[in-house]
Amino acid sequence: MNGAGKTTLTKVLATLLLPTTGTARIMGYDVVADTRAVRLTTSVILGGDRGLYNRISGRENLAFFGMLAGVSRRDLRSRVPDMLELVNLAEAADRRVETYSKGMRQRLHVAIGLLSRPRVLLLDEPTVGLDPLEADRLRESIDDLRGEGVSILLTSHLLLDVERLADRVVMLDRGRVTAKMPLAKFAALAGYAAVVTLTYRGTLGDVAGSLPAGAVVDRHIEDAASSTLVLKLREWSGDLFSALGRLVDDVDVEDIDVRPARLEEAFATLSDAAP
Amino acid sequence: MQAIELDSVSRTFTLAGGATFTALQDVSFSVGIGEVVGYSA
Repeated sequence: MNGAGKTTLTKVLATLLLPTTGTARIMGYDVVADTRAVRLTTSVILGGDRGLYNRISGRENLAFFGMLAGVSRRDLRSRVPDMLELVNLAEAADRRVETYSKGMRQRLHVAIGLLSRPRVLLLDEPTVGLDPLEADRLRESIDDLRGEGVSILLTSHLLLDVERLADRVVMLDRGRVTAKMPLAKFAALAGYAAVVTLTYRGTLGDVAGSLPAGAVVDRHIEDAASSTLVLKLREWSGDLFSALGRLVDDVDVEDIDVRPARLEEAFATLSDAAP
Repeated sequence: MQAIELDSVSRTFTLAGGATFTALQDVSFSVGIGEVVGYSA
């Protein structure tokens, strides 16, 4: 949701905006009083088309912003090629940035943000503009950083990013925190744990009567060509899978898809419950 | 110590004509060391 306050909060933490009231600290440093220490500790990746020098190459942009971030010339010599490799820009490293696609620019932003090896990373919509493969590669990189002890605050309206990467979720709505909890609990708010979609040929018997408590028929369409049964499961259970197995004994199963409850559904549940 | 600590952070903007817009209101949460916290809406 636009206007939720996500980008404002990122800018406050990045010392780009002063808070009107309250305090914010990064690694113990106050974002108002200890600006320099906060900036040396933190990288912010805002992304978008701005913030890069178009008439110089990606490699030169990296070296320039690295120097601004206090990275030594010696470290730059090894880290710049590493970062270009990490974000898959090695082949385009010496081309002017004005020839880069939106996705390539986004990846260059990410490389610049990681160059100084920050202890805290603020990521604002990091996968916007990336194709699915690029986005997945970036998510893997972020996951690796977590393994190295980097603390990350990730802003995204793409819930897949949050789902894949976050340990905890904070929900902002019109500038207020409306929920904060572990990811698993958040997903549970959807009201069920998983959705099973069965595609088959043939006729099922009494579906509702065959299933144990905790499984609800969400949709059931039988057609001569292909039929679909969608079940919502409140929780995983062996009984349920046994019952499902018995149910499909006499039909020709074309596909079974099982997916966990999505954050979108949890958000929808929370939004419906909000006053 | 937490990696990020926010305590009752608010941010208000004054728009042309004097009207105000509150972008953040009383926001408090923290991010632990090595933790990834996503925030969304």
